Amino acid sequence: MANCSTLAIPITIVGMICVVITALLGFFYAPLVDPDSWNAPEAYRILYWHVPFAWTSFLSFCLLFIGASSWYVRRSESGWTMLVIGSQLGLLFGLGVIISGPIWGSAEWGVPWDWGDVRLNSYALLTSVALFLVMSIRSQPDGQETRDTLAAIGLFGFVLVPVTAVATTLWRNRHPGVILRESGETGVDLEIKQLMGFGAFSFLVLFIGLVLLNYSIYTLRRELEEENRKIDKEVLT
Amino acid sequence: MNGEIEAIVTYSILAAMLFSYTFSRISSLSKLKREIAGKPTEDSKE
Repeated sequence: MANCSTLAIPITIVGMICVVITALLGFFYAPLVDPDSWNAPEAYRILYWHVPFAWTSFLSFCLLFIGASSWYVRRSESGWTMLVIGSQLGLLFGLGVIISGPIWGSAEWGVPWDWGDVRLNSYALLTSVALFLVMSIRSQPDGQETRDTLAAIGLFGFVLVPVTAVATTLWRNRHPGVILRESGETGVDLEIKQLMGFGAFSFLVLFIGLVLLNYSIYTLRRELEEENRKIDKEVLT
Repeated sequence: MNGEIEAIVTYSILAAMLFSYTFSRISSLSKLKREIAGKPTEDSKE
């Protein structure tokens, strides 16, 4: 645990630096896309953060799912902590996607949102589940019943992850397909792919740092509460 | 309209979100560590 809290801050800072480098490379190094095929060729640079934000949000939802399952199976405190962290990070990265997507959409498509696109709507629902969990965890009294209910909602929310992923290829309307997979349709430049890969790596480091950071916070907070309870008991006896 | 302004606005919003969340977590952890480190000293003083 001591190692976890010692490593958390340096890993998070390295992640933040890499994320900033990704943005700078996206602006100044990444090649411009064909202006004849894109309506807003410069706005595509948003994707260097939009796509890793989406990937990281899926990692967060996986953490939420593991935490919820672990809470149900073993009633473990660390499982509940994972659920709390997963929902917080899912909301953070999900909101990033929900904010950046419509800005890019309005520049490129002329409309910020396509209500007919399953992927957009299932993703918005997924982020709403994370928002609901974060707000409920903060507002509801902590207890086994509350944790059971919220873990059930977390498990339901995770069902939307494969739906959103499958919607990329099955029911897609406007949203572009999978960009790092070879296909005639995507035909993405090698430099763009490399930069996207670096972005994914940067956000992965940041994600690990944030998970460790939050895990350390919750563990230390619990330790402090236990210590305070012990002191109170000693004073009373 | 090439979308430059949209890109700058988006990066600014996302960076503000990411940095404010990260720094609030870092400061929470540092505060907790200080609190825990300071506890035995306060107790021993008493």
